[in-house]
Amino acid sequence: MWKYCGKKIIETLIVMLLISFFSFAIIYIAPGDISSMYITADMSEAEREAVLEKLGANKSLPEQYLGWLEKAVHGDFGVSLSNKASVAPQLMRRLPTTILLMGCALLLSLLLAIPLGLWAGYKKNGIVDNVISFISYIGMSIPSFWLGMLLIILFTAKLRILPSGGMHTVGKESLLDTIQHLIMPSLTLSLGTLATFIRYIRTNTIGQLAEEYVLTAEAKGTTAPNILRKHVLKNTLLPIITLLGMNLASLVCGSFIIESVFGWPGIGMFAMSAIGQRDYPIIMAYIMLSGFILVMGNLLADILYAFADPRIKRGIDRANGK
Amino acid sequence: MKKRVLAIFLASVMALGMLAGCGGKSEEKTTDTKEETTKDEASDGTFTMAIDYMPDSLQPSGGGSDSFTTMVRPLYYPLYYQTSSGMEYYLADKIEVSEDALTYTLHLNEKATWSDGEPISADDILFRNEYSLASSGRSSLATVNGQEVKITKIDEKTVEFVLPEASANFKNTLGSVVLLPGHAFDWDASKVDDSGYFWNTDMVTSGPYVVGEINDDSIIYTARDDFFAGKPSVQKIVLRTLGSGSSKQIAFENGELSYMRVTTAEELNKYANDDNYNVTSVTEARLNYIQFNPGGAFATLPAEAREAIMLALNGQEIVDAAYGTDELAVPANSVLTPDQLFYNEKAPGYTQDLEKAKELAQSSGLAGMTLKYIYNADRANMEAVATVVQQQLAAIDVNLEVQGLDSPTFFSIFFAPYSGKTTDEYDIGSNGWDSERGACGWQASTYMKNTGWGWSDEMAALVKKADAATSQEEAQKLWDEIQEKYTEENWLFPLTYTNYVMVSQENISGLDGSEVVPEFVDWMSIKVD
Repeated sequence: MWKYCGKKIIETLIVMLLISFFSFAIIYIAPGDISSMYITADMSEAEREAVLEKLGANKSLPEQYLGWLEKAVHGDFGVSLSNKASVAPQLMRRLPTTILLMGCALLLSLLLAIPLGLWAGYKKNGIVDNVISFISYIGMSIPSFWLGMLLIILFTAKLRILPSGGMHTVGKESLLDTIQHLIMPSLTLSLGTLATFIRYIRTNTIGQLAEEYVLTAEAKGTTAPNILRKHVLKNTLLPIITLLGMNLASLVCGSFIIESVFGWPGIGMFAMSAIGQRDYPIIMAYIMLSGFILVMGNLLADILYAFADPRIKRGIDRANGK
Repeated sequence: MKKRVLAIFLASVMALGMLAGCGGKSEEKTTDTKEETTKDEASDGTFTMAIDYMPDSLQPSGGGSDSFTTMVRPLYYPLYYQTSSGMEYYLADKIEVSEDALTYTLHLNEKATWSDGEPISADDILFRNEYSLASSGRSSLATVNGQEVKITKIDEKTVEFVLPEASANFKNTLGSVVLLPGHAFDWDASKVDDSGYFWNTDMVTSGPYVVGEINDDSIIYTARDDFFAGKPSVQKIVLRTLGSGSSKQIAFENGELSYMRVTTAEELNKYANDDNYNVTSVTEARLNYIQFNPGGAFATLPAEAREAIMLALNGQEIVDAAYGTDELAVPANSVLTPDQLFYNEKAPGYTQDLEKAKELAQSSGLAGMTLKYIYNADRANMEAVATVVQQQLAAIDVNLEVQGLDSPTFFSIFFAPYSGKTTDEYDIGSNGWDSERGACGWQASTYMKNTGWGWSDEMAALVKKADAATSQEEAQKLWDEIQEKYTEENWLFPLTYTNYVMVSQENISGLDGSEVVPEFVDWMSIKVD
């Protein structure tokens, strides 16, 4: 098992290195750079060169990349080219805000998806299943920015019961106030994930209900809710571990669109403005963070999977000659 | 049967949802809530502004975007602004220019102090110059056309700048300089960047406000009691992140914002016809224009091809279709804007002549061609302008392949000829330059003395002469000649002069205290009743 973990970690490091190189290369090749903010029309050639030198924009791709990498491995992601402040604290400051929003959305998805998925699977092809499946398809198909706008129009402009955006009402930073601000972005974000989770759980439930252990439980006289809760639930949640691992990156890195629509001051909105300014230290830090979390999420999912399902652990051990 | 009933039920639910979301207006309700909020604002003199993003520093020399400039305006005053209606003095109270236009003597207001009580002094001007050189390797005060400017402190409140050659733009450059509190950094310019100083409530400011609170999604400024020009009417400014586009509009109608910018006739009419809102319009001093790329298709086409396009365009039609009203923009006739002293309202511009345009398009080989047209998709109304231009050129059998680009991409492609690079990534581009106000034609001269844009050597020489003119009469004469002759070269089509139109809650007034944009330079004129 340890050998398996070690192998996965080495793979992760290689993937991270590749992510960093390709991201850097893409930003380098993209038209436009930060110097457009500093270079003005009346500058002489020498002055332009001096500005490019200060910004480090006159160096070649390998030079710039190695310079960045050397600092990055020491945890120094540099200084923002637009606001001249260190990048890492700027990201860290927004991290809790994003985790709060994405965490609420994920929790909401899970809390709703588990009972709905189980119920739909249990009532396979019945009215309940059809209604839940229909809602799931809508959830997967609706563009989140459109749903977000629709919710703002409905709850803010028409009903006037929720704030249009932001995280707090100025001068009223209570828990209730934050919850009010969280409702619409969380709902919008959770709908897509909820729909996916429901479909997975439903399919698994149908599969598990056909297993012999369910027949045994029924033969023993166990009630349907108990069969679902005590026996089927655990087995249907296995693929959710993988999905959660893959969702970990979005949990930390936020959503460009939803944060922009609702003015949520998180990492997504921050990265969006950095991209608009070609502020590559911030863009790189953001990409590395999301890449790292995604790869770590998958690694964690692999390991948790092995712990959650003894058959997989035994398979790994067998492959390692144990 | 069950499935059919279910399908009808679900379809009805969806339709109702759509109607609720996208349905008609509920104006009565809007008014009620807005009045409530307005009353709240009136009670404590709060002015609420939307910001696109939460900054990480309020360092006035950082940023670069209009949005950031708006955020720091209440905290840091400029020295002065030159406008079409005269001089607006802020931290300075006098600027004298010698007869040979080489010596500029700036005097700071005797009463001007930083928010910690320290006087704003000549040393702060020198410090700002040092900081720019240390931070970016370049200071707009230190050189003119690549040559050194001699800066001398005369006394605690006076600084003298001696230019190597006359430059009409220097007065504007100097006026818009934002000072940094040198004493807060022990007069060491290398300590400023990444100091974290400009992100806390103790930061020292030169404007009428100080930072009161920094929250997760908002910043609050409070009025200074000791500001040398008096205490502003607006006691508290709240800057909030509120999402973009429609979210902002809903927040405004909900009374959560004091004002917002409008860029379409539909929005403008909606608020102009409602007594609950005030409409304020200031000229942007911006010239939007169409530029031909000398390196694209026009490198091989004869000059008549460019003339054909100029004659096919109709400025008024572009304004009508893309802006919808003259209140948002008017057709342009010159390379200067009406906010500039040397602007000539009788400048000929281009007049549409479709028959001649068709003839020229045929004879020059332009007819039947497909040209690449790029525009800045981040700028208001530019997409609509592109669509109208596309239709107008179709009338002379020219097909436009239109592409909208984000600002950094657009600028790097559009300005390639300006940097001496030959590019065929586009043939025609539309852009806008924000012209300075008053006795200066610098933006226009910067473009037109660059032969990379296709201008002739004679035109470049004429523009250089106008830029270095020492007397106003001489400058006016030269600019009149430029505004007359530029149409002969057919490289630039002046599109529109735009207005910056804002709608505010009815209790807000004085947004046009200064016409300088990005808003607002003169916070002392803004009132919350």
